[in-house]
Amino acid sequence: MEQIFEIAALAALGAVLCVSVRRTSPEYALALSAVCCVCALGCAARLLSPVLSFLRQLQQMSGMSAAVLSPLLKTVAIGFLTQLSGSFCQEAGEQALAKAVELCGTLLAVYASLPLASAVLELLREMLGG
Amino acid sequence: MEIDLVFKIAAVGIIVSILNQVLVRSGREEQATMTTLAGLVVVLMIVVQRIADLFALVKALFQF
Amino acid sequence: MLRILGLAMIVTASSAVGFGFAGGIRRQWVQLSALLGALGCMKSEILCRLTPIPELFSVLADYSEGAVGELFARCAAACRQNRCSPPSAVIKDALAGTPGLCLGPDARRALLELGMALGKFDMEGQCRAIGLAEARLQRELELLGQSRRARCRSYETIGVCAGLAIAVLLV
Repeated sequence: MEQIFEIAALAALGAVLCVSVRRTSPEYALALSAVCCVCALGCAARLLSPVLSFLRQLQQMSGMSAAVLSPLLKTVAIGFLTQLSGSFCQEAGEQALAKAVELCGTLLAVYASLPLASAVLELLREMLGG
Repeated sequence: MEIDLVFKIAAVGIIVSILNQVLVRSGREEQATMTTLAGLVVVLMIVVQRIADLFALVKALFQF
Repeated sequence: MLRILGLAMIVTASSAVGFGFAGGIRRQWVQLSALLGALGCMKSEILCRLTPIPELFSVLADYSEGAVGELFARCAAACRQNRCSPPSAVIKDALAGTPGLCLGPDARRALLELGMALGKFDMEGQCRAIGLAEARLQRELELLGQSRRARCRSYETIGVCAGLAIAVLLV
């Protein structure tokens, strides 16, 4: 759990450095903030591995097919990356680009959840005896 | 935790901005622009490498 | 420890290059000033003693110091070796062969044109040619003087910053 201290310290340090670098070179401040975010998220994402293994165990125990869990995970990942890149674009002052990224993320999340929707439709059809 | 990477990018940014100002004040604006672009390319190479690592990690974790 | 030593060497080397360029500017200033003094002496020698060209170069070699003295010493030696060589050819060879000479292209052209006038015209004509060369060198000295401090400072800063940037990237 000491990762949270490391992430907090990295974020605080990155914020201070960004403020001082932004005065002279805004592009380097953006690159610096991107690296801090990526390092912090990379550190936290590694800790997701046991959580995801637990979800897979639950899926096996409940007898659900992989087609149910996989779209869920993909949608989470799409949301995660969309938020990250949308925030970068907003920080760079590109609101239109941020909105475009968010829109693409939404569309891709809907596309990724199609197998789940098909599985639900199949289940409904079986239940209704059709 | 790659704190030295954060310091590296901040240091490169500050040094390049100093070089930029010195070159602009001595009347060499093209060289100042080239220096800024060169520094930016180097920093972007580092950032892109890290972003690629993050994407690879997400891909592996979430089974893309 | 080794890493810190390597980084210090990189920063020192890059700073040395920057300081070297700045030193070149300062040397150019000193040599232009010495050259102007030598031309003043040349005018006096021609006006007062009508000194022949080979002896004139020897007198200027003794009068001037450093690379400028070396330049005139080479001119004097070339004249002694081959009495038939024109002063322009002698000055041209000496400008190319003198080590440590940091003159700009305008100063070199002024000296070459002075060499073409020496020994060809009467006393008045030669003094006018020397005056023209003095005016050109004086203008170049003034231009250099205006930008000298800024250029030296920028070369030194660029050297140090480039060394620091390379050191930071290599760490």
